[in-house]
Amino acid sequence: MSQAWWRQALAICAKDMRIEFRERTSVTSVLLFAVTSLVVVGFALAGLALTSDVAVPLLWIVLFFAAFSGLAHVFVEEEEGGTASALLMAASAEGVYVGKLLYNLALLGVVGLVAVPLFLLITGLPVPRAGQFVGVVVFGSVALASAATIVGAIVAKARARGALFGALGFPVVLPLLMMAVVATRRAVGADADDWSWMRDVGGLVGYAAMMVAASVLVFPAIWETN
Amino acid sequence: MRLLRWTHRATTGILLALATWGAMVYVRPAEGFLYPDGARIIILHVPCAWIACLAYLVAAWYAVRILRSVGRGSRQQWRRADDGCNAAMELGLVFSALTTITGSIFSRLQWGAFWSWDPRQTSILVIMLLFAAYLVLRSALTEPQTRARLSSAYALVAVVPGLFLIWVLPRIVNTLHGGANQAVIGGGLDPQYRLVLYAFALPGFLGLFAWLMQLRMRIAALEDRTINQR
Repeated sequence: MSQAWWRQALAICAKDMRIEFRERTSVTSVLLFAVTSLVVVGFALAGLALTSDVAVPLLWIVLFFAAFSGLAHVFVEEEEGGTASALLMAASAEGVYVGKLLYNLALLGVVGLVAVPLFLLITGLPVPRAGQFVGVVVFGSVALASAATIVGAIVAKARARGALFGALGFPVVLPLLMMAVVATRRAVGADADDWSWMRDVGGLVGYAAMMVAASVLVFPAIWETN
Repeated sequence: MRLLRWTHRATTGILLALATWGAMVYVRPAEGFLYPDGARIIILHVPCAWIACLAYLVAAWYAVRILRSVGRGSRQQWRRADDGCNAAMELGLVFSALTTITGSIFSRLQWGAFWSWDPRQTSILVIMLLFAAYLVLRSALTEPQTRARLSSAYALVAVVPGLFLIWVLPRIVNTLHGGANQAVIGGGLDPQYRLVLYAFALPGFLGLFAWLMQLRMRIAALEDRTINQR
């Protein structure tokens, strides 16, 4: 416990990334999930003239299910590998939480880098204000990852994890999804650009910040259960 | 103590009887409504919504107490708080379900659709899902201390989306409930409705909630005792 929490966090994140680099289980499974669901969406909508109002929610549905299919993995692998107790002794709860959060942000970032361009390719959605679109997607994903990380930490300690993760996650992220959909619609919409998108991005950043703050407060209680 | 308990029960009964009489007989059918008599459901709908939100606050308060005492305080302390948190969540589920049902009936009568994804409708749906998710999480955990810790952690994390639903979302999306920032919905109500609502229905429902909480916690305490005796 001698190290500062942020050093511990970076070490834990690096450890998880090294494991991931050797095994490539969670990146490939989450990525494959996102790509598969995008292909299903594209297949189902083939030949239809898609308006941005319809296309935008599809993107967030795919990102939501991608996040809530794989982001509990970082905690589940510690439980199943029996390494949770060792980590509990080696690092502070804050360090573990922040490290896992950083890893999940990176994981969802990789998924987004593949899934979002693919989504634009499949739907042929024009993005008139690309900067605004990227900003909304990036901060929306950050907020999504912050919610998925804490719910994943809870779910990893329970039975019937797979079904529970989505069920517990959905009500927590529903307001975020609604904000993200409205904000993304504005980014691809035709109406003249004003500064209202600042409010949208502010809402997403605020959600992420509050979720991280609440998580830091409750994480020790979750992590210290055996 | 015994006297207090019976006064509480009697008052609750009288207030609820008065609220029923008020809703069915005393208030006039609302003018300007598609079905003027349909407005009477407001007297059931609004207190249910308030009690559902109150139940969440009570549960969150218990959750804070659990996280402060678990692993430190005596077993009895967090066990009681855990029972309270569970009871509040169960009652919250019932009252939010009642709110959703009465709300959709009113919405069908007044706006022609049972459901229109209005931010307030979404809020009550999300709160109902949170209550349900909390109870599902509890059922997936068997060891009492783990269950108390994890479920109260979830209850507190879920406060964040609750805050967003109440203060942020109605400013971004348009709402049917008049005035996006109007926390109290009764703003445009007839004085008669307001009298029945604030004088009879709301205190009556508060009394009912307190009574049901007591009953549920007594059942939980009895269950604990029988388990410990075995």
